Amino acid sequence: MIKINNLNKWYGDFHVLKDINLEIKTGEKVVVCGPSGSGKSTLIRCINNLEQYQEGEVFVDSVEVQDMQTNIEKLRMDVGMVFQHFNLFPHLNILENLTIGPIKSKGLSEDEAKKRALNFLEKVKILSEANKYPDQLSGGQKQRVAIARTLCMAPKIILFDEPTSALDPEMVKEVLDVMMDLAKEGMAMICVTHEMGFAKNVADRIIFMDEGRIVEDASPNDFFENSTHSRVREFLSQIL
Amino acid sequence: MLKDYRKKYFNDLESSVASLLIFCIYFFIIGYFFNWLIIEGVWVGDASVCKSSTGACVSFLKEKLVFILFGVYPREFLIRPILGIIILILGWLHFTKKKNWNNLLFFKFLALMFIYILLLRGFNDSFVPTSKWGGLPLTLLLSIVGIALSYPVGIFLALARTSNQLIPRYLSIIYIELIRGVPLISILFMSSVLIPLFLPDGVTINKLFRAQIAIILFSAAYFAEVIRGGLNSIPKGQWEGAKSIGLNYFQIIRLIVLPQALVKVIPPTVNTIIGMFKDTSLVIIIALFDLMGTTKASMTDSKWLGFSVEAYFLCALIYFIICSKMGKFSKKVEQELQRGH
Amino acid sequence: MKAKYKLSSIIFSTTTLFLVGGIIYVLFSQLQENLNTQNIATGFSFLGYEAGFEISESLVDYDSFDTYEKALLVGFLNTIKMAVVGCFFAFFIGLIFGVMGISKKHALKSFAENYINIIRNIPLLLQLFFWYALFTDIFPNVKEAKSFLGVLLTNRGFYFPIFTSTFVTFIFIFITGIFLVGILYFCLIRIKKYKIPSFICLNLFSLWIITLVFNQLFTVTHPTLQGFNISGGESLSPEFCSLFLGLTIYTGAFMAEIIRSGILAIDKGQWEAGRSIGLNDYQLLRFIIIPQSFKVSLPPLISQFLNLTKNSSLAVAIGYPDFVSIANTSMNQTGQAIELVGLIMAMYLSLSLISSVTLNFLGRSSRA
Repeated sequence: MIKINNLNKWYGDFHVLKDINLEIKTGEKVVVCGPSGSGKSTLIRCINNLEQYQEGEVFVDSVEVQDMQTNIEKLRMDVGMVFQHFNLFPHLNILENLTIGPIKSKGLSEDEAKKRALNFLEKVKILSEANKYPDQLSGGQKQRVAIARTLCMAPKIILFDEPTSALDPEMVKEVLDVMMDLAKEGMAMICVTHEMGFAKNVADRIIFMDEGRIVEDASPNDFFENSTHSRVREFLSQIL
Repeated sequence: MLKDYRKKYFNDLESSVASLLIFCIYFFIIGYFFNWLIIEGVWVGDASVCKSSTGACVSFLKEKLVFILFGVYPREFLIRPILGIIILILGWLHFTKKKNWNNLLFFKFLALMFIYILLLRGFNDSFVPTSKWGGLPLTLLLSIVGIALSYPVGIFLALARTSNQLIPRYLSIIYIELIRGVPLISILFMSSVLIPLFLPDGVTINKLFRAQIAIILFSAAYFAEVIRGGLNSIPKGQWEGAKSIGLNYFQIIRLIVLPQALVKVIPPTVNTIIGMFKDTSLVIIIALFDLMGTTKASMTDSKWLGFSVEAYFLCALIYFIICSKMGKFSKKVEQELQRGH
Repeated sequence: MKAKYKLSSIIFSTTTLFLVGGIIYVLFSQLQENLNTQNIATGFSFLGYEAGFEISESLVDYDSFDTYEKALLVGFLNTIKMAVVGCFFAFFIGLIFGVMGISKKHALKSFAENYINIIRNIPLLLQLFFWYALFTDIFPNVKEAKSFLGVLLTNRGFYFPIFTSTFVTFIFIFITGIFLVGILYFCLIRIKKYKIPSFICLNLFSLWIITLVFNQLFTVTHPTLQGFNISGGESLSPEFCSLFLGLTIYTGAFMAEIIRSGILAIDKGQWEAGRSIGLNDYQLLRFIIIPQSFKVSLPPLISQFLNLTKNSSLAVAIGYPDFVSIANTSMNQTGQAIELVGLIMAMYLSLSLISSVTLNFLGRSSRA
C-alpha cells in the first residue's frame, strides 16, 4: 500500500535521503532502525507530507503524496502518526484531544466521536483520565493518549517516530505493550525505534538505514542472525 | 509586623540611610500636596477666593466636574453615559474572570460595544449627535471600538505575516512596518485630512469616524506584532500533531494554534490596550473633545482662569486609575501563566 | 507534479493581489477627481515658495522669507535635536531607575516602582501639557523672574549664564578637561582605594575646577533684565523644556522597566559566581550583569528610542517647532496635505529603517 520510488531529499546542500526504494504491503509491520542522522525520521515524514522531497515519488494507496491534486488532509487521515514528543493539545482535555480529529476532519457527530474516543481510551488503559489535561499526565500516559488519538481516525497504517525515546525507562514498557497489542490485532505500522526487543517480537521486516540509504531490508531472523553488512553488525554489537 | 518593617527598611546602615532619604522625599511631597489640597485648598467659594489663596481650587473642580467628565452632552440625558460607563465596568469584571473565557467572549464584547453606542446615541426624541459626545465616554468609546475592530484585523495581519504565501505576507509586512514606523499623529492627520479627498462627491464621514478609523488602523499593526509573537511561540509539534489527524490550515489555526497563542500573549496584549487607551488623548490635536480635550477646554473659561494644575491633576487621576487597573490584571495573568495554571 | 504551492493557495494569492490592487485603483481615481474639482495643487513645487511664517527656535538661520523647504529643514533639525538629547537623558533616567528597581534597599526599590507605575499610567500628552502649564502659567513673568543658582526661571523660558568664548576655545577646554580627568582617573585606579563610582565624581569635580579656572580667562554673560526682555546668557524655551522633560521622564520610565527586566533575566548563577570571586554589588552590576543584560535589552531599548522620536511629534500640541509642527502649519497654508503627510511619514519611516538596519547589522532581531 505504500510505494516509494527513487526518493531523494536535500536539506540545502546536505543529501539526507539517497535513492530510497521501498514497498510496504497492507498489514505489514516494519521497523526502521539505524544510527542518528541516518534519515529514518525524515523518511517516514515524507510519507504523510510533513517533509517535502525534491526527487522521486511516494505513493500511498496509489495516490502520489506531493501531487498538486492530492487532498493531503484526506491522505493524513489514512496515515496516522505518533510523535516522539507526543504533541498533544494542552488547552484541550484528553477526551477533546481525541474527538477533535474525528469531528472536524471526518465529520462524525459529537456522540459518535465520543463513543469512539472512550472505546480507544479503554483500549490503551487510560479511561480514568478522560477529563484531565495533558500536563497532568505522565510521559507514558501522554504517549498512550497520542496513540489513542491516532486510532480514533481509523488509519490504515500508523507511523511511529521514535515513540519511546523521550520517555523515562519505567514508562517505555507500557507504551511498547500497547504497540504490541496493536500489531497483534493486525494494524500496519512503520516504526522508527531503537527498541530492538520490540523489533524482534513484532516486526515482519526490519529496515536498516545509514547515511540516507537503505542498507539492509530483511526479516528479523535474517537481520539479527545472518546479516552480511558490516555496518549492521557494528550497529547491533553496540546496541545489544 | 513592626519587625517586618524594620527588616525591610532598616536592615543595615546603607539601607537605613536610603530609607530615611526616601521617606523624607515622600514626606515633603505628600506634605506639600496635603497642604495644597486640604489645608489651604479652597473647597467652597468662587474664583476670586481661589485666586487669593495659594491652595488648590477645589471649587473649580466641583464647578467643572460634569463638563470635564461628559463634555457638552445634554444634561438631561446624562444618565445614559453614566449607565454606559457602569455597563463597561460590569463588562470588565466579567471578562477578566478566567472561567468566562470561551469562544463567545468576542461576541459578547461586540454586543457590549453596540449597547454602549446605542446608549450614547439614543433614538428619535432622545437622539444625541456624535458632535455632542465628549469627555470620558468618548475616550472609552474610541478605545473600545478601537480594540473591538482592530484586534481581529491584527489577528488577520499576523496570520498573513506568518503564512508562507508570498503575497499576503509581503502586503502584511508593508502595512505593519509602515504603520509602526510613523507616529499616531501623522495617521490622525492622514485620516482627518486625506479621507475626505478619497470619497466621492456628497459622501462625508464625520470627524469622529475618521479619528476612529485612524485608531483602528494604528492599533491593528501593533496587535499584529503581539499576536505574531504568540503564533511563533507555538511549538512546531502542535502543527504536526494537528496535521497528522487530518486538520487543514484553517482548522488548525482556529482550533489549535490561536486558542493557545492568544492566551499566551495576554500580558503584552493588555499593555498594547493600555497604550491605545492613552493614545486616544491625541484626538485633541484634531479638535475632538475626549477626556483630555474637555480638561483643556475647562481651563479656558474666562471666569475660572489659571487653575490648570487642578484640572490636569483630576484628568491624570482618572487615567491613572483606569490604566493601573488594567495593568494589575495584566500582571496577574502573567504570574498565572508563569506558574502554569 | 512536485507541487511546492497548492493550486488553491495560488488562487488565493492572486485574488488578494487583484482585490488590493483594485481598491487602490478606485481610491486613487476618486482622489484625482476630487483634487481636480477642488483645485488643490499637487506636486512638490510648493517647497520652493516663500513660507511666510516665523519659527520660534532654530538651529540654523531662518526668517519668514525663506522657503518651505528651509522651514521643513528647521523642523527636521529641531526634531533631531530633541530626539538625540531626549534619548540620551531618557536612557540615563532609565538606567538609574532600572538599577534602583532591583536594589536590595527596599525603600529605593519601591520608590522606583512607584515612579515607573505613576508615569507609565498617565498619557504622555497630559504630562506634556502639565509641564507646559507649569513653565508658562506658574512661572513668573520676566519682571518677577525667580533666580535659582544663577538660572532665571520665567514663563518665557530658562535663562542661564554661558561662556562667550568661540567654538574653537570651547573644544579646546573640553578636550583638555577629558585629558586631565583621564589622568586623574588612572592614578586613582592605581591606588585602588576607591570602589564607589569614582569616575563620575571625578568627572564632575574636575569639570568644576576647569570651569572655575577658565572663568578667569573668558567672559561669562549673565542674563539680566533690561527693559522688557532679558539680555545676555542663553535660553531654553518653555516649549523645548516641557517637551524635553515630558519625553525623558516618560520614556525613561519605560526604559527603566526594560533595563530592570533585562537584569532580572540574567541567571542567578552569574551573581553567585561574581560574589564568590569577591566582587561587590556595584562591580558585579557594572562589569558582569549589565553588559550581559544589554544583549537582551537592546532591541526593546532601540524600540523605545524610536518611540521617543515618534512621540516628539506631540510637539505640535505645545508649540515646539518640530517637523510635524511646521508641516502642519504648511498644510494649513498651502492645502497640500497629501505631500506633507507623505513627507512626515517618509521622515519617520527612514529613521525607523535606519534603526532596523543597524540592529540587523549588530546581529539582533529588531522585534522584541
